[in-house]
Amino acid sequence: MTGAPVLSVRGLAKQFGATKVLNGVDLDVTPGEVTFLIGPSGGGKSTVLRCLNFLETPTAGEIAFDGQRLCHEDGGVFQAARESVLREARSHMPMVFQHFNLFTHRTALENVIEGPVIVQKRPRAEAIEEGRALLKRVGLAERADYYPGQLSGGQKQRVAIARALAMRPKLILFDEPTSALDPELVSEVLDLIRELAEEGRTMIVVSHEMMFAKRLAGRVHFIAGGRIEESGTPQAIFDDPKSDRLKAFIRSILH
Amino acid sequence: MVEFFFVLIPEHFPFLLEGALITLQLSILSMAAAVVIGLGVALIRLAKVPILSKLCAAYVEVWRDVPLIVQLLVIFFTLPNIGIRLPGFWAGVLGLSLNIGAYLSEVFRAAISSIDTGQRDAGLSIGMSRFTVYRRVILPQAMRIALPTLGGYFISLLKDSSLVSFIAVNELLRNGTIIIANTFRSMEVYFMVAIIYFIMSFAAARLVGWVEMKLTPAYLRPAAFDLRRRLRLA
Repeated sequence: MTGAPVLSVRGLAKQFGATKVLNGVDLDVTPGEVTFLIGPSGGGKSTVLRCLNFLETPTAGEIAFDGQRLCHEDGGVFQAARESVLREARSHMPMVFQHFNLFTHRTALENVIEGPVIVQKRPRAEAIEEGRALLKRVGLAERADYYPGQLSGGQKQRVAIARALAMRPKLILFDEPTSALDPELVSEVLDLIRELAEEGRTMIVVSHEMMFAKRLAGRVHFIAGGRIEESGTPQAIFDDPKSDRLKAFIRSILH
Repeated sequence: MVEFFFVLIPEHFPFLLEGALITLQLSILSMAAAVVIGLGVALIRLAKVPILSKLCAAYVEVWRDVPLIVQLLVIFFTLPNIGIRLPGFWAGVLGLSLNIGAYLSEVFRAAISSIDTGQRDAGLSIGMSRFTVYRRVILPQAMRIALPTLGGYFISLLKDSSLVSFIAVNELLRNGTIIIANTFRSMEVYFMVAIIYFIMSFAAARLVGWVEMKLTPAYLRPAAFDLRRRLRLA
């Protein structure tokens, strides 16, 4: 797990009006690494993720992704890269959302090929072939022509993961991928994410599934109050927490 | 009765149908223009373009607050004073499309606003431009929501286009009144006019319903629709 980081973040900050949501977040992700962001609700985990792909525009800090500067400070003035650079970056770090956000007017297969065909301009026939393979990969080959409204939550999330994979991503962002699922559907999605981790995919996962994080993470960041309070290996974070806030958080989730 | 079917109808129906054709042309052209105006205004207002969106808001307010007939008369009789002389037909198209456009902009605005922001996020997150997100993700879904209302407006437009008879356009109603002026058979002629309006509106309503079904994913369609289609294919 060495090599140049695919993603490097320095001093990332986000303010909504007068409210500071993020307060200087530093983060490095190396290729093949699985990074977990954990922490209390409202602590800023999801905002970090949404700033990385500019669904939210940060208000300060630097982000470099895959050799491209997405934003930086120039003499104290925050500057974001051109929209075309941001779009290009987004297409290489797709996001899997808590509420799936499948295109409701398109079938599972159409959802998966939308990015390759429309954004990456790959030949439709090739995209369809690859899309079917991906749906098979996530165990939904026979659901290719179903609309999102005909799928269970777990199936929808697996289609959403296939949609992300279809972008041939360098990094996948997971924003609480199992939080909206019925308890009995959580494991099918977690199993899939685990398989992707084992394939050596680079991912950042915001999750409340602590046992899952402990087993899977290369690195865990505990985010609270808009900053990274503590970082480390899963063992260090879960078995030997240093800060009082993390200790309290771990206690609270273990009941 | 015999006279109605064997004298009045053969004699006057063709002239009324000529008028009905103009009514259809007026309505279809105005509707097409109104959709463009309405969508444009809705997008400008949703994007909160400075100045322009204020102007659009003012347009919607003014055009919804003045009776259609007054708008038509203003366009036809006062624009010539400032050097814009439009033939009655085009004055009618302009008046109708500006009027319906104001209403449609609100229909589109509501439909677009009703699409979950997660759809936008999903489009952006795979690298789509904002324009592509609208074209591929938001508008197709918003249109499906707007369509029944749009259809309703088209059907009222078919009927409201009769107001254009006031600015000397030989559409269905005016042709009817011309016949009445010559024959004094107001009851029979108005009856024929009414029947023709009914048939056009009824057909339009069925067409809208059919298009609506076509745009609905198969699994959400009532079984009857597919059954009917299967019978037609058989």
